[in-house]
Amino acid sequence: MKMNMKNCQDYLLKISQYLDNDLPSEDVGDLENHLSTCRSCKRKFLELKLLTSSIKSIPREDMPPGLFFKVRKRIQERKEQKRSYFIRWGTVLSLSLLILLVFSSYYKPNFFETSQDSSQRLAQKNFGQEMKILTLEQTRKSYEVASLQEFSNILENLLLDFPEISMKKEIIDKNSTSYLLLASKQDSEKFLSDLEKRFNLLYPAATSPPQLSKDPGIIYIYIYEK
Amino acid sequence: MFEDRANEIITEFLPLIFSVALKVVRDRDQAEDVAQEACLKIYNGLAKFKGDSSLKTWIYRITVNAGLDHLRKLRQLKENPNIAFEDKEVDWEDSSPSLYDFIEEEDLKQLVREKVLELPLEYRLPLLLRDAEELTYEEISQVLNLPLGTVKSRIHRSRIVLRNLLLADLGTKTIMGASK
Repeated sequence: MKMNMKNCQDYLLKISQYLDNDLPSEDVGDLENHLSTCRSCKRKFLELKLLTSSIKSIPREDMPPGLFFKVRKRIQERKEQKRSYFIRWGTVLSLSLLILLVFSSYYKPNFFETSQDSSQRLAQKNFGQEMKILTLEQTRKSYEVASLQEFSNILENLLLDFPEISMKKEIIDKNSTSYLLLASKQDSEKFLSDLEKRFNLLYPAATSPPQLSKDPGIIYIYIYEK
Repeated sequence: MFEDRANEIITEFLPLIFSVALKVVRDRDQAEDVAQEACLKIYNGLAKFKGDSSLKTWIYRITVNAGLDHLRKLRQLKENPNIAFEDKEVDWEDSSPSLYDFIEEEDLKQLVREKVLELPLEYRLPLLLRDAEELTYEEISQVLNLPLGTVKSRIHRSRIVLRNLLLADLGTKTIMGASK
């Protein structure tokens, strides 16, 4: 009796898979035989079948009239916002250049060199002179990752949630990629903390070496403050 | 060129985007906001979309995520619902009556369509993506970013939770009806 109940419990999941056409073909005959002899399971089958067919018959809800125009308006507004933001940032960049030029005439050479390390030099090489000056305000972050491609996907997917952040991507070589981001302080903090969360999900044992070592690599993330 | 493609995609998928948003937030006004947010993300992300998944799956994922973000924001305001995905064991008691014992099949179907929207998000979403949107397990796994095995068991559990919810509702109505 106990054995039979355990069997019936196993059949319940199979009924669901059967309704989804996901039951392996070798199990289909067995399930159909069981349903023809077990009243209790047959009843469950009929009830679950009713649930799925009822949900399938839910009609698609009508879209509110005017939604399409609202969407177009939002996109247009966002485009204009971006345009004015680039103009603003251009101004900030010019001002920063000016301030730093004045500042650096008082403080002699070593000023920039103290904040340089290998990853920063790499970014300077790849992103040019203007960017070098703003590295004073940067948040730098580098991750050793097991699969460069996989982590790039995570990062770029997350960026979709941050439309205000502008991004420039530079594939340095097959083992390293650099991301240059321009973000407000608030956005950059939120972005890095979300990224950390997703990173921890992907590599739960962060202290041990990554499991997949076929394509090891380094991702550099440079965030410049708006 | 990009503008044309973005326009074309949004025009084609907007009814789907709205309908999915509504399944997440269950309110037409809020679903409108979520649909607009999702369209913005699609517009912003289209140039970066590399075709790792199908366009349709990508759009589903963006819309569901926009809906979840919307709910998270609401939770901040109201300290409200738990939308975390937690798997709990659910039982189907063999001795329980059948749904068919209470009402006719057509009324039962209507009740299912109403009650499925009352399910908690963690059950409602996989179930509706499977049965109403007719996505495959693999597609649901990509949309919800859950392992395939979790998707399969979640959908199965959701059906039992829905069935128990219906049973409880019908049982209560019957008892109340009898006591009048």
